[in-house]
Amino acid sequence: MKKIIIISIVFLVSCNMVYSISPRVHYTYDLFVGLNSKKSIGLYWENGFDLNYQKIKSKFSFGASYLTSRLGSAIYSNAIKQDNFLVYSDYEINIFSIIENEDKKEKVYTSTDFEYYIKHKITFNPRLNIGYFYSDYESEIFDELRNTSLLVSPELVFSYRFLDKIKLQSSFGYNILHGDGSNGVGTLYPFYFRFSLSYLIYKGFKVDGDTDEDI
Amino acid sequence: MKIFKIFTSFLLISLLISCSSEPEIDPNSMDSIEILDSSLLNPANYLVSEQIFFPTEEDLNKNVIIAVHGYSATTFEWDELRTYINNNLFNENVLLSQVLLGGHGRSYKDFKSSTYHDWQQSIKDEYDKLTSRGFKNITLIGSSTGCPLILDLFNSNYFGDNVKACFLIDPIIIPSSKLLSIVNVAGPLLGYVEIDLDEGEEKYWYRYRPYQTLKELNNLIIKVRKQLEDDLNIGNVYMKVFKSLKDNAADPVSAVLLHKGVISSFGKIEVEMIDSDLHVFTRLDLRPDVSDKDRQNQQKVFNELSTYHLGIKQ
Repeated sequence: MKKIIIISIVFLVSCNMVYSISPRVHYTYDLFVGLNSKKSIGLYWENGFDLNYQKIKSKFSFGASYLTSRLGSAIYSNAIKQDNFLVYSDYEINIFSIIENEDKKEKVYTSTDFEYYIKHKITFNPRLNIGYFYSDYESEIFDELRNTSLLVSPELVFSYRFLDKIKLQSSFGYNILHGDGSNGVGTLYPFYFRFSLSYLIYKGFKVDGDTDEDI
Repeated sequence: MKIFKIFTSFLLISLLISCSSEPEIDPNSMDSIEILDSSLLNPANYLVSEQIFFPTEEDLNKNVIIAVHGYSATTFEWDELRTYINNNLFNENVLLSQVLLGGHGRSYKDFKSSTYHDWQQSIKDEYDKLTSRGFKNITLIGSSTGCPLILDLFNSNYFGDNVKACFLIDPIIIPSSKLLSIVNVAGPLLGYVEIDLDEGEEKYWYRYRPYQTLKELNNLIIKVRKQLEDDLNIGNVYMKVFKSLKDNAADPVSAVLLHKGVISSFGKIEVEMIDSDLHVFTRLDLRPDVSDKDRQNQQKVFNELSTYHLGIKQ
């Protein structure tokens, strides 16, 4: 645990340094780098890294994650060492604007309103992950057991962006392909929660024609 | 408002489903109050502690096998081992206790109200009675859920030096049905789970599995998995695990966790993966299609047991 905390601090400090020394170019995308953590319901904690890219004008974002029990349940324990390599795509939906439309309410906000702030920082992002799973059984006795699998998992992500540079996400996902005793990898469980904390390393700047909401 | 209405409707539907949580029980099945496990009617035929109250020196030199069945099963699961022992004149060296887990072999209601501590109590009772009468060469053999129950006792150092060996058949540490992991949420909505049984099995297995017992099972296997993650020391006990390569109840990866997590004075325990798709492949009676390979697999385990107890692998 101590190791993880130290790695996290070093990581965030390095990100901040990269951000502060990077040349001020007018990027048209936001790039977040962060730490993420996954808890399979009934099994392991897996921790790792996350990279997220979002074009300024687009509601879609793309990312890649690496999660492993080596940085989670398998630290100093006999838990199975397993790795998840994922790429994903999100679609950003502003939850509060949907509710408002449903209730047919109309309200004008100014950007200094607290309500405005909350409503534009919390988003609901349906996500689809695709990837590769590997489990290390560490003995030839188990050579006949399957230890790799394709990963396909829809995920419901709640995202909260604050202090402009930090994004906190929590999500619930379902691995469509999971072990069932005859097929799939036994330690690949279907349901999981995931948490991530990301830091903006490159910020997209407003370009002509963009509205505030785009950013 | 619409979201609130959908949420309220969902809660109401869930409540209605959870109300119809009692199954219709066939009076000729294990779930009914009419049928009891044979070991409750004739305990002396099943338990050494009910058979030998004042053991002789000759009795005390024999090995006693305590056989533990799995979740929702009965002593029937180990009847074929008794037959094997009797047919091979192995009974001159070995005595067999077929323990009926607490809460099992009785009615659905009894099963529903039992906890895994109740299931485990029968193993402790038989072990305590045997050791108090002087038996010192005890072997444990468990199938499916019997295995984590035994391992949990090893972890709490319940067994002293009297247990010499332990054989685990298709141990469940990771369930094949991963839905067990959400039993706390889905269980109250479902009430119970009905399973398919082959002809004749309804007298020896529960057809209906109350979610309360599935919750107990889930708690037990999570507890033992964590014990394995932290090293489960069995001391001077010889242990061997046999695990089917395909299994619809206990995921084969359970064997990996045992291989990594159990440590003994002899180092790593022995694990053998068996080319079978049966859960508890040592029980073949009442199975519809038994192949020659299935019989060979069963004999292999029984032969290893006899080899061990005839002193070759002491």
